[in-house]
Amino acid sequence: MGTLLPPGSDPVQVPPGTVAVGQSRKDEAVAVITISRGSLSGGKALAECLSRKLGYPTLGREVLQEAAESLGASEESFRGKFETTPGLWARLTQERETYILAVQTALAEWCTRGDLIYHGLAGQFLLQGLSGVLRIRLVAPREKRIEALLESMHRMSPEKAEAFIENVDRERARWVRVMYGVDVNDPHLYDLTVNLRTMSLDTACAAVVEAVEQPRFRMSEEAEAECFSFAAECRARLNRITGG
Amino acid sequence: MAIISICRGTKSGGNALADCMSQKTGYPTLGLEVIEQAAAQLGVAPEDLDEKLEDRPGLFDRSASLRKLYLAAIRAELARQVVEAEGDIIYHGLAGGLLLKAVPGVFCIRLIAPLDLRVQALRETERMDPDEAEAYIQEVDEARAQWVKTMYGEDILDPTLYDMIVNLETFSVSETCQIVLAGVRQPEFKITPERLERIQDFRIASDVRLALLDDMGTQTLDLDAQSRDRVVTVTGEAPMYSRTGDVGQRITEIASSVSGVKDVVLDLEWFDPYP
Repeated sequence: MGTLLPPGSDPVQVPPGTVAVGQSRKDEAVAVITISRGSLSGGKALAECLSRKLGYPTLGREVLQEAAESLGASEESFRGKFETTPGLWARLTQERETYILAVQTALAEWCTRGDLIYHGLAGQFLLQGLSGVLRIRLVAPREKRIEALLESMHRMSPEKAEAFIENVDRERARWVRVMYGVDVNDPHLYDLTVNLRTMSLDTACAAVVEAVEQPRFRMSEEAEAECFSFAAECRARLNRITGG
Repeated sequence: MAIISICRGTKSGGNALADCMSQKTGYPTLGLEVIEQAAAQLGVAPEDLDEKLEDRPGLFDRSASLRKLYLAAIRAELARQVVEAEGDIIYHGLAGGLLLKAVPGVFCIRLIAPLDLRVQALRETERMDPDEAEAYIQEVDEARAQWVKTMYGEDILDPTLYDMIVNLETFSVSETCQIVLAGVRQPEFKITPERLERIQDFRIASDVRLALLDDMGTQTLDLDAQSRDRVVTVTGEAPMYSRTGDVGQRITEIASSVSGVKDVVLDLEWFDPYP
């Protein structure tokens, strides 16, 4: 899709530390973790557990608010346009491309600030190709997800809860297929897939910590430069489109 | 700790991961030798057993009953070895996740690797040219997926079938080893005395199924066996004329002859063969 900027394309060469998007990276190992999952699969809880163990900040749908603000749009309308699957005509409009680029820019700029755990939509696509990004897919059995929904929505019947989850999964899969042409469940899109059918959330957390502590996820100077360059590239492109 | 089951496509690093995990845990590994041992039990050549299992089941499947017997023999052999190791074993042979589905404390890993890495591995070991290697991998992958679909009704790529899927495009085998161990060592995968009893039940049920498929009087019946606290329940269908005849008695005899069985319960649907 034209909206997805692969790192390195149309590069704007900016040396590390010169982009005023936040504090500079720490000296120790840093990494970005993206968590992809179905609704009510424990993604936020995993992000929080990882945050406690690693000390990384977490970021979820708040990134949409930042992106909306950067375009002067209301969060609600932004969210609706970003998250719903576009029809054939809408797919071709620049508005949607702008919205996705705004989210990609906000997320990329978060990454330049150092360690991050992102559990919002499409992290594995928005940061595709960047070094130092660990892409996690979290899978949970349907019964556990229904149970989680019923706990938060006391008046909902189990049938409605199941239908809701099915609907959200279908829509999410369709969104990914239409926007990126791939199957969201394909494990090849992720570095590690963990399943909560037997595994507890703490165990999943321990395994992901082990994965991110492997030397390849220590951000090298080159990877850091790549990250800054990518954020600057996204920002420059967004500015060109919006005239900002 | 846990029973570790490794599933992977051909040339995806399954053997290397099994060896690495074995070095770190001291657990024995079990792979294709389970086929040899099952073949020896049945008195057939391992190649024959392997060939029948790898066959893509067709519409008119003349090998179906033989395949069922061979698969039961493999399951029984696997169960025997799991019991012998008291649950501390690394299995990287055929269909681990599916054969061990009913067993508690199994940590099921799937390894995935990009096609070019697998082609490279095949070129190095088998000296194939790239096109030949790619075609071979695709053919084996398709056959395996078809086999799992036919035998178990499952999609081999379904991520919900595995506890963990590791992408070898990102991680080396030794890194994968570390990550898997971080998961396997947690309490939910621990082999407790209660789980050892369930594993014993799995061994008993597997042996009963094999014995029923290996007996002339019962092999044509569609029977299944479960075991709980070493009490075996045989389910399935049997012709009505045998309700008080020797088929029910034969089933009980066969199941009772398996070591460790305390009692046998028949829960059969009787049907009239001459309506």
